[in-house]
Amino acid sequence: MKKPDSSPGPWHYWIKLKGRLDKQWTDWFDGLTITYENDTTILKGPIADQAALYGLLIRVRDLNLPLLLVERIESSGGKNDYE
Amino acid sequence: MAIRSSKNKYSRSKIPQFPLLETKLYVPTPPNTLVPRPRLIEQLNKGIKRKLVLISAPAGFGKTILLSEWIQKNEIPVAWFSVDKSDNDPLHFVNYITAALRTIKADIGKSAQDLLKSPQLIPIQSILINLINDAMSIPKDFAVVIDDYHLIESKQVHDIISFLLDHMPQQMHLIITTRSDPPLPIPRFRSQNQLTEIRASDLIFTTDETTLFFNEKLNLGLSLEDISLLESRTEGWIAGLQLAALSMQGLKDKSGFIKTFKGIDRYIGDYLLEEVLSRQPERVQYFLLQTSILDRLSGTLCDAVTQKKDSLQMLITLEKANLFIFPLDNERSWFRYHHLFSGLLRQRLHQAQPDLVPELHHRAHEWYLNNGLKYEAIDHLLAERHFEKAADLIEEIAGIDWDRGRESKLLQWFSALPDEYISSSPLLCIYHARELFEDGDWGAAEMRMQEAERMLESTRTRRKGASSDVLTQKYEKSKVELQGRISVIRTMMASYKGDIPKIIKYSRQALKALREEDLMWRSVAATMLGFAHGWSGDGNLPKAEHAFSEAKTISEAGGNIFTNLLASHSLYVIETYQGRLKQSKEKFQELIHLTEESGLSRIGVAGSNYAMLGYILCEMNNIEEGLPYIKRGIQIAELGRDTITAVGCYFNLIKALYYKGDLTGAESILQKVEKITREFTLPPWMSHALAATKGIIWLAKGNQDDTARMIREQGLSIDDELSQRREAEHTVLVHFLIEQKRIDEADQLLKRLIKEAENNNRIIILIQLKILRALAFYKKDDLEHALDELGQALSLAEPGGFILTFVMGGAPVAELLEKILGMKKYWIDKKYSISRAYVKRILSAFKTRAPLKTDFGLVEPLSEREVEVLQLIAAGFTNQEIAQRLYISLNTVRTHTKNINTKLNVHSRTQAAARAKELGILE
Repeated sequence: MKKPDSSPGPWHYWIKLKGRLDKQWTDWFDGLTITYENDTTILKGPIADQAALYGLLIRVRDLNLPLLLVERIESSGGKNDYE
Repeated sequence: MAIRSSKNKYSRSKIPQFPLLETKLYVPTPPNTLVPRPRLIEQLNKGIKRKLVLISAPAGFGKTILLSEWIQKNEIPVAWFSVDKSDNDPLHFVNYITAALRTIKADIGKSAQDLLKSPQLIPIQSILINLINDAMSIPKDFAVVIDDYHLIESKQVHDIISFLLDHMPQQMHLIITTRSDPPLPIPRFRSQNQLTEIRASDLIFTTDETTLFFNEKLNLGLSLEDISLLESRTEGWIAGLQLAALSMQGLKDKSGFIKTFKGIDRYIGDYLLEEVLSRQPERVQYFLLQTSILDRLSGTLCDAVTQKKDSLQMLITLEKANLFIFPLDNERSWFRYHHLFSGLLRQRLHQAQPDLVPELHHRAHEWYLNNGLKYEAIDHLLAERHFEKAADLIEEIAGIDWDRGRESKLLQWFSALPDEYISSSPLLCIYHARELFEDGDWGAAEMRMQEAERMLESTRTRRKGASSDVLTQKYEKSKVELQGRISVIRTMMASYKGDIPKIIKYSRQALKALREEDLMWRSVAATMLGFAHGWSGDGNLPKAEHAFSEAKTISEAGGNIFTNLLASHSLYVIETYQGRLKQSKEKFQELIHLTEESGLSRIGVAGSNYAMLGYILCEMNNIEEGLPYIKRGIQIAELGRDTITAVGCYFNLIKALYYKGDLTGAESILQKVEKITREFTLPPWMSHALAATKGIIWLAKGNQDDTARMIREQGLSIDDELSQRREAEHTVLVHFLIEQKRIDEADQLLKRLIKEAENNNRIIILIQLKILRALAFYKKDDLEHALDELGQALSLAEPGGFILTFVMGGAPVAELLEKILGMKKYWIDKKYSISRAYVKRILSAFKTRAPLKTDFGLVEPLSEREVEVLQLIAAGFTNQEIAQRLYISLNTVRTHTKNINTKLNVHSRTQAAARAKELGILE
């Protein structure tokens, strides 16, 4: 698989949104898990590469969901199960 | 390219019609529930005086509706362009901008559209400049709206917008709506007060607007308390308020609904959509969900997808109910959903009926195919995951696409197609490589080409679900030709790198392998081969001529007007360099006429046709007629912001001024070119030409010091390996050595240069070299050989009618020509095969122009006193003696000598005397 990103993916990300997004949206966000923290939604899980991350953020934008935080937490150890 | 039909009579491929074009240009009309927004309209009215209005806010903030209201209320003509993802291709994008501008003035962009018919080679800037020049003809202020600009990700398209903003005429204004700020030089426009921004905080509904919307427009009769609750819950988000309104329609206890609303902490869009949907009759719900997969909706398309018969009626009903649907034309044959709304619907469809989704796409692709709309069909085929059929269609479209301008979606499709479908078809690999190359991803392009080559070499070709034998046969037949296409891509790569031997190698391979009918691929290969042998390449002119004439024939057959212009121009330049001035003069005249007729005369490259014609006229001693052509060429190239062409035209101007004897003028143009090169890097062949031009002018001025410096700086020596690129510089070196009376060294280099020029038929330079050799012999008092060389130069030059090249040789050449005239007729005829009439014509040009004897480019004429001083200097008096003789102080003499040196551009008393004699100031 071609990786324009110099760092090997996938990486785990943690994305925090304002408001509660129904769990059924998980497909829309490439299978990230959806959890809640008070009035916020946390999308968590591995994201294949930078391009996938930007694609995901655009989806967030297009739903008019205020974005509070994006953080990369850890490497999944190079295991790639997204094909 | 998506413009409907080509008027071109040569057009070969059947171009699918694009009835959807207008839908992207349709100016939306405000809905009947419009809440007027005078404060924002005022902001727009003020803002439109600036270059750019940026309306930047998330989905559902009423950006488009605001503009539709403004357009209805203001007087300024507006062009509208709704962007979709396929507009990420620069050519495609420009095509739509052109089409949009045409809604304001129908004759705009004619030549831009002609240019767009060309698949490659045209600098996109040329097209834009054409468009900008056309837009200047719109007499009053107008605006161009680019809606949904966030869909643009391509840097090239962002560059186009930046370019437009920097160069568009004053009366043009750009309005961009987007969900995220575009990567444009926004801060610069802000600081120059050229930008008006309308952002989410401006767009949200105020309490008054919310009240007006719910209670006057929709007559819902809500209390102030309810309204403020709705407002705080939606934070003024208009789509949210609209969804809320739809949810409440027909509800008795609206207040109760609003209260429940308070406790809901779900994503509000999601929640409200559910509410809205649940209020609709079941058949409406189904309709909305099933048609959500479509980007655009028409009655029959929706019939096909929903398998019902009343879809058009349904669409009109939905529009009346304000269900987030907008017409895309006046006839109401096409509609689209609000993007946010269709996004929510799609999500719901995927959850509720995931199995139905491929089936819906299947129905959509069939409808598109039945209606001849292959491009849209491919999108649905890919969504349906019917890759086999998608691959076949992409293969077909990629084949015709290049012939009629690049279709943008190819790269997008290739990335949606699983690798195995591409890597099992050599043809798809080649097309993918071509797109990747044009997109700048050379590594990936190379990999695809290698894949294709491996497949073509191996006897077995595998492809999922198909018999390998059949496929082997399919590509076996066209194996050679496919290899030819790979060579074309390799040629393009080599050309970007300026690797001339590789260009020659691959383009030859390509031309050998490609079928005669494979016009576009052949024309690219032939043009590249021509350049590789032409003035910017190895200078093998007969080969360049052959290649360019093939490129010209192909372009004519293919009706490709731009490549035809390029090939014709190149061909005639090559003819000129081969000394056929008379023929090329007529051909350039004809070409200029053609470009003026087709409107192509305003693209930068066309400027060089004028400059070449002007140069030819000057060479034939028609300077007064030629100069205006050169100046026109410069004007066109500069207007077209085509720096390379402009510099090329300036070289012609310098040469013409030199011929005219206006060396001061020539030097000031040289300085202008120098200034250009400080901001713009010339290609190597051009910087060599610039150095040589300087040398020519300096030598003519007798400025040997600067010439010597140039020779040093350019590292020129008589032992250099010779190449066409450095030929002009080497010629200057020869001339310099002759001036320095280093005849043997000069001749050593001359002989080699002559051989090179002869081998490659570079007649124009050969004539100069032979004249120089005649001068070299003349300096050695070897008149016999001098005459011999000049005779050869004359016989090479007579068919073309060169005049001024000889005149620039100065008095020795005149003397030699007189001697030739004095010879017996037998000698002139037999030995040189030239006519006496020709020699006489050159000699009379000497007399009428009195070259370098009258107007030798003194910055300022010498004063009477300075001439007196100069006479004494020449007579060998010291400064002290001069002071005494003229009754002036020593200091004054020094001032005079200093001024004399400056005016004559020399550095010593001896040089001053010599120069003054040369110029005829002193006897």
